[in-house]
Amino acid sequence: MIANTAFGILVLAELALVFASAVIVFGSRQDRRWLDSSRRAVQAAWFLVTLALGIFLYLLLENRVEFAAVYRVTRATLPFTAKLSALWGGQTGSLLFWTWLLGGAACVSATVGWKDLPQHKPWIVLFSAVPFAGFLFLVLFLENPFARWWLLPNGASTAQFLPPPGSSIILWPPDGVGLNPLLRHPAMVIHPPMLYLGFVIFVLPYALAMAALITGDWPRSLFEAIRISSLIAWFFLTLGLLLGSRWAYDVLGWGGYWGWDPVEIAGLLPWLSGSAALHLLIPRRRSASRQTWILAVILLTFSLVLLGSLLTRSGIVVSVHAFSESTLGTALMIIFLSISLASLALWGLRGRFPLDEPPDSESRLWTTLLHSSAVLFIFLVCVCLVGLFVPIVGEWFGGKPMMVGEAYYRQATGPLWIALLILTAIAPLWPMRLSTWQQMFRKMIPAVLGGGIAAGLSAWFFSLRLPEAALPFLAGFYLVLTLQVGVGAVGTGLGRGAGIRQCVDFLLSRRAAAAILHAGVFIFAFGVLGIEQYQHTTQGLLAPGGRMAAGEYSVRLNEIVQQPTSDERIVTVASLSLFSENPAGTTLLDEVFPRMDHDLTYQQTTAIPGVYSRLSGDLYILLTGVNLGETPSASIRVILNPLADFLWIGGLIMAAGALLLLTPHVFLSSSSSMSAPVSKVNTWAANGAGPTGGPPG
Amino acid sequence: MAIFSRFPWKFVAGTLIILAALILLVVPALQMGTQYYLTVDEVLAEPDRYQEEVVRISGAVIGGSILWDGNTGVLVFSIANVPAALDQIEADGGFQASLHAAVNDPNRTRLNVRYEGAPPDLLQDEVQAILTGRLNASGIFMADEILLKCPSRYQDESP
Repeated sequence: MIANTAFGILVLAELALVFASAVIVFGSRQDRRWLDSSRRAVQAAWFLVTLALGIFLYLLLENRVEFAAVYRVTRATLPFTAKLSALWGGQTGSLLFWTWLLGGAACVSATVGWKDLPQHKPWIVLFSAVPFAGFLFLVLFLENPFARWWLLPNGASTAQFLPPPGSSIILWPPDGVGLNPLLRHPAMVIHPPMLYLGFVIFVLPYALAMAALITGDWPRSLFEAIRISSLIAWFFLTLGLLLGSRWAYDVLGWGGYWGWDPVEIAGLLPWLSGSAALHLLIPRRRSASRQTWILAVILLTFSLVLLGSLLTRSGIVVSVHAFSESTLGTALMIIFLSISLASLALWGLRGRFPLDEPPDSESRLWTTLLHSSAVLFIFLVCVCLVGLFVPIVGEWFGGKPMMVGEAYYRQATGPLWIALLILTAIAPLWPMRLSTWQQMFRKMIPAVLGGGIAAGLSAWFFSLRLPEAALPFLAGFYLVLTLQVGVGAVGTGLGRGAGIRQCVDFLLSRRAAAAILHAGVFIFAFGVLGIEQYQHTTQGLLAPGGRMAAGEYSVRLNEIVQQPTSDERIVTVASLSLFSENPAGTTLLDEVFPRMDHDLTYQQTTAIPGVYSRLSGDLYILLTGVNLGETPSASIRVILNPLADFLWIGGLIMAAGALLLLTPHVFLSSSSSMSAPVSKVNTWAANGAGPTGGPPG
Repeated sequence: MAIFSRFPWKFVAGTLIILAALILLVVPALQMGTQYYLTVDEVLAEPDRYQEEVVRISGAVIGGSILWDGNTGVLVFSIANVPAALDQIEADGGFQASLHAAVNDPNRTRLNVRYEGAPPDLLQDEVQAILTGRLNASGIFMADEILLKCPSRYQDESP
C-alpha cells in the first residue's frame, strides 16, 4: 500500500513537470495565466517529491527491509545519525535525494518573481524544470526507491516494483546489510547535502543563461541574477568539497586530504568553471563578447555537474567513492549529452561576437588580469578532463586498461595553481584604477618588500626550502597590498570627514569581501604546502609502556582495549600519550585514542586516527595493527602534517568571504543603481591608494 | 583586402597560443603519469622487463593468503589473474563473477605480493587490487602502493 502510494505520488510529480514544460513550450508565453499554471505545477511537483522522500525516510528509519533500497543501506542496530546518512549512502536513496534537491532549485526558480526579467521568466522556469523532470524519470523507471523483494517460484528473489510474473510473495529479510562503515562519520551527515546543494543550484544560472540565449535579450539584471545564484552555488560547493576532504582525512587514514581520484575531480570540475564564471562576472560593464563568454562558462559549469553525476553513478570510472556499476549509465549519458549539446548549439547560434566592438571603458589592465584568471581556471578544467577521459577513450579504442595517476595531475596542474596564486596576490590592485603596467609596478614596491620580509623570515625560522619560499612571499605581498588599499581608503575617507557608518560600509563592500575570500585562498595554500611538501611519517611497533620518537615529538603506548559495540562492531582502541621533546626536557601534550573499527556485517576494518591538532601542525596517529596475545603490541604510524589546520581554516574563510559577498548590503551595492555611499568609498579607495596618498608600507 | 582586415587574426593567434600552452602542459604530464594496468599473466610473461620497470597490475585478492606481521610491518598476500578483455569478463558473468572465478580457480596464475605497511581497510577476499611496484628476482611483486576497488557485491546480493 505504502509503496504504491509513494510511487503514485512520484508519477503525479512527473506528470506535473511534463505539464509545466508543455505549457511553456506550446502555450501563450505572453499570457500570465499560462505561466502561473506552469509555475504552480513545478511547485506542486516539488511538494510531491518532498512527500515521497519523506515516505522513503520513514521506511529507512523504520527499517523496512522488504524494500531493496532500504535493505542495502541500513540495519536495525544502526544509530540514528547513521540511518540519516544512509539516505545518501546508496545509489537509489542518493538519486532520490539529489532529485529532490534539484527540484528544490527548480521550485525556487518557479517561485522567485524575476521582476526585472518578465520576458525571460517562462524560459527560466522551463530550463530548471527540464533537468528536474529528467532525473525524476530515472528515479521512476531505473532506480525505483520503492522496489520490494519478491520471492520467485524457483526460490530466488528479485527486487522489483511490480510483482514479477508467477510470484506474489513479498520477501521480508530478517535485517538489512547495514551502512558501509566508511560512511559512518559525522562529516558524512553534512558533506553530501552541501556538495549536492552546490551542484544543483548551478541549475539556476544555467536556466538564466538559456533564457538569455533564447530571448536574445541580455539585460544587466540577468547577469546580476547569474552572478548571485552562481555565488550561492559556489559557496555550498566549497563547503561540500571541504567537508569531503575532512572526511577523507579523518576516515581514509592515509593522512591526506585529496587524492586526485576521478570522483573527487568530478566534484572539483564545476567548482573550477564556476570560479571562472564568477571572475568573468566581476566587471560591471560587460561587452557583448564578454557576456557571450560568461554564458558559455555558465553552460559549461552545469554540463560538468551532469558529467559528474554520470561519472560517479554509472561505474565508468574506477574510484573508491563511486557507486557500483548500474543501469543508469545510458540514461545519464542521454541526459548529459542532450543538455550539453543543446546548450552548445544554442550558444553557437545565438552568441554574439561583434568584431568591431568599441573599446572597454573598464581598465584594460584590470580586465586582462580577470580574464587571465578565468582562462587559468578553464585550463584546469581541460587538464582534469584530459586526465579523466584518456583512460576511458583509450579503452573504447581497444587499448589496454590504463590509469592516469596523481603524478599527471600534480605535474600538469602545478604551474596553473602557481599562476593563479600570483594573480591572486596582485588582485588587491583592483580599486586603484591603474591603467598602465608602469603605474602598477610602482604601486607594488612596498608589497615586494613585505613579501621579501615574509619569505626571509619563514626561510630563517622554519628553514623553508627555496621554491617553497615563494608562497610566503606571495602571501606577504598580498597582505601588504590589501592593507595598503584598505587603510588608504579608510584614511582618505576619514580625512574627508566621513562617518564611522561609511567606513563600515566600505568594509562590507564587495571589495573587502573579495579580499577576505582571497586571504582564505592563501591560508589554504599554506595548508597544502605543509602537507604536500613537509609531511613526515614514522612507523613503529610498541608494547604497552613502549615509546617511539617522531621528529620533535614522541609517543608512548599506554594500553590497548578491544571490545564489541551494540551496533555489531569490534572496536580496538589504543591509548597513547604524546610528548614534545625539547632540549629543555619532555612535556606531556595530550592523550590520543586511535581506533580500528571492525564491522562484523561488512567484514571490513576502518582505521580511525587520533589527531592532536595545533595551528603549527597535526600529529596524525594511526593504529595499523594489534597483537593481543601474551605479549600485546600495537603497530603505530605517526604522520606529522605541518600546517594541516590552515587547510580547513583557509577553506572556511573562503566560504565566509563568499557569504559576505552575498550579504544584503552587498546586494544593494552591486545592483544596477549604485548607491551613493558605495560609489564614494570606491573613490576613496582609488584616491587613498593613489599616487599622492601613499599609505604606510 | 577588406577580407584580411576583418579576419580575426588576434582571436586566432590567441586560440593557437592557448592550445599550444595546453598541449605543452598536458602531454609531458601524461607521459609521466599514465600507467597501464597489466594482468598477472602479462607480468609473468616478461619477468625480466618488469624487474626494471614500475608497473600497475590488477588482480583478484585471495583472502586466505593475507598475512600481516605486526612486528616487521610486512604484509604478504597473493592475487590471481583476472582477464583484461571485456568479452572474457562478460563470459565469466560480469566483473564480480570474474573476480570470484579467478579466486576459486586453482589453475589461474597467481602472484605473491609483498608490501611494507599496514593492510588497507578494504583488503579482503575477492576484491580487485590494483598494485604499483616491480618484480624482484625471486618473482615476488614488491608493491609500493595498493589500491582496492570497493566490492559491489552488497548491491547485487539478494536476501
